[in-house]
Amino acid sequence: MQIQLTKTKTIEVKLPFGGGGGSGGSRRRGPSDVVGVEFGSGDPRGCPAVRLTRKKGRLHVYAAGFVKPPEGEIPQSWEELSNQATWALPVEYQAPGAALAVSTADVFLRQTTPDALTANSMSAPKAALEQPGRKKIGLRSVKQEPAPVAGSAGKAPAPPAGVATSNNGTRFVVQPLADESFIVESGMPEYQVLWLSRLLPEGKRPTAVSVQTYNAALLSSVLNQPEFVEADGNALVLFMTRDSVFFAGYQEGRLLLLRECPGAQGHLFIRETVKKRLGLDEEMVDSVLNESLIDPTPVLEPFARPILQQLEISMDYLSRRHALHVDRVFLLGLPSGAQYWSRMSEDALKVPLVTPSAFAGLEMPAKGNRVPEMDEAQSQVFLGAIGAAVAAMEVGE
Amino acid sequence: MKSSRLHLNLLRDTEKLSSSPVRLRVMLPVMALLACAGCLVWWAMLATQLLLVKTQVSSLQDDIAGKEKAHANILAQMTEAREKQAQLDQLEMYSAARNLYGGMFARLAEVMPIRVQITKIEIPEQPPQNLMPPGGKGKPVWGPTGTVERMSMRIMGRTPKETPVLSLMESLEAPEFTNTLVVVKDPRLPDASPKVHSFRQDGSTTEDGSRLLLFDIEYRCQPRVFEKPQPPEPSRDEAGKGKGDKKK
Repeated sequence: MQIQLTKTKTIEVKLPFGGGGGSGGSRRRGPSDVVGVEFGSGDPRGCPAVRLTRKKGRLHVYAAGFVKPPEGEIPQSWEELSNQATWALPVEYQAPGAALAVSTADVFLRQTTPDALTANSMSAPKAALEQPGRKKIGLRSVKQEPAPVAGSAGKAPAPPAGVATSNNGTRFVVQPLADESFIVESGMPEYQVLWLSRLLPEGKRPTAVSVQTYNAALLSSVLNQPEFVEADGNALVLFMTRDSVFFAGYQEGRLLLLRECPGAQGHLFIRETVKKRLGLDEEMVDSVLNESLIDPTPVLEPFARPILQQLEISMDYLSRRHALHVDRVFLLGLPSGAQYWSRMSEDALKVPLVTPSAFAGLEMPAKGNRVPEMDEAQSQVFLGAIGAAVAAMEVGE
Repeated sequence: MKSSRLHLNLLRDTEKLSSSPVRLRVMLPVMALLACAGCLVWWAMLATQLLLVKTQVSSLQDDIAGKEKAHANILAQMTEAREKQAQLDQLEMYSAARNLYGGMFARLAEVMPIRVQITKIEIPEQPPQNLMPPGGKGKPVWGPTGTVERMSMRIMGRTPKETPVLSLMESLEAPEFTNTLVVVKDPRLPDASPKVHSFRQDGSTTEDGSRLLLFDIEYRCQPRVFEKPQPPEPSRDEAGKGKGDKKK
């Protein structure tokens, strides 16, 4: 159990029988009824929310849809922390616990090494104390990390795995990858975590049991995919978010590789480009990308090329370094035009991209009115919410 | 497939809020207050009960103190009554142990042969026994030590010859004497009766010059039984009536 003394100082008390969390040595099963909500999606329909329940070892979708975002903005500094908003979810989403997948400009998720993490933590600027926007922390910052400082004097010990830690106003958590020499680090400003922890008020369902970055939540969204399970958790997944693209390689269900695709644009920018190049209005873009009336491949190709190059590099890395041979790649998060991306991948790498429904592998409710009708492409918008809930339910520290 | 360990939760356990409307941090003080109030009520009840019991105890003690003299008086009376009853029982036992010899003596005169002169008839008195246990202080308490007291009768007299004495002894074996005297003729038995202590010639002579014989015979009498008399048994008629009633 961790006790926070000040904003930046915490002490850890180890209770007998593994109580109070810890470094992952004693793992327990997560809650059985969780609503996953993507916070800050920017979707005009609202925040994607999916409530999952576990019955007899299987995950059931209780409800899915869009919920009205809370009144008030997430704070951008410590001073704004006092403007605490509260959020009440509709009845069908009132599970005991909520897992929030947060996508703001200040969150980050990256693969790093323990040494690099330590050096970075020791020398990190007071990012959260500065004006927001001056220094963006994101996937792109992976390349700007300082080199690992091996054996540097006064090196701070690496934080325990799976335990949220504060440093210089940033809340972060690390987990080792399947390849133990690497770790994955996820974080966001401390004041934002504190604000989010009180967003869902005490005494009312739900309250926050998990706050993850959106990209971190995506990592868990693939765990219940039937094809992923069939492959014994050995897969390469291409996550395409609104503003970034990254690869995640899995070995026996554990994360093995996390690589951001440098120079790649997210699907929002690609969609806007298609819209402009082909002279389409807002309603026509998705139909063009999902149907075969007009071939948007020439417009997509410049975006696809660096991504497919990185895909090839990643596949080669997994094959040579970890003997993980990939015959198909999951493409998740792309709400439209997945078939064109798969065709381009097959032409270039002879590897198809598979885009299953985000709800694949989950039991759908008997009453259809709690989940809107949608196809595989439209379901991708719920990926973050599903991933957040799955992570909170399946992986309890 | 191994555990994925992909839950990169930025929330600490201490920051997780309870969704239950019953909040521990609210309920704990409330429960503590309720527990304190419960303890106070319990203590008040105990104190009331203690006070009540103390009052009852003092009233009972006063009552006992007031009755101590009467209680001592009753105890003394009960002791006296027991003593009196013991005396009465003793008297009843003495009464029951009384042996009547008058009839026997009257009949003895009738059966006495002419040639026998009785010089002495003695029923020896048993030496008094001290009932006080050894080492006991105070006046000795005389009385029988057992419930049965052996009695005997000695007949001493003179006769010119042996025959009249034998005749007397035969006469004393008659049923009218055996109610009082016990006759066990076998001389080998230790409690044989009569026992001839002496049968010898007297030094003096009669008028006709013959020598007389002196005899000393001891007869065992029925013992004195110091027991309370048994209540009279119901007569046969009454017993028959009882049986008849049962049969009915």
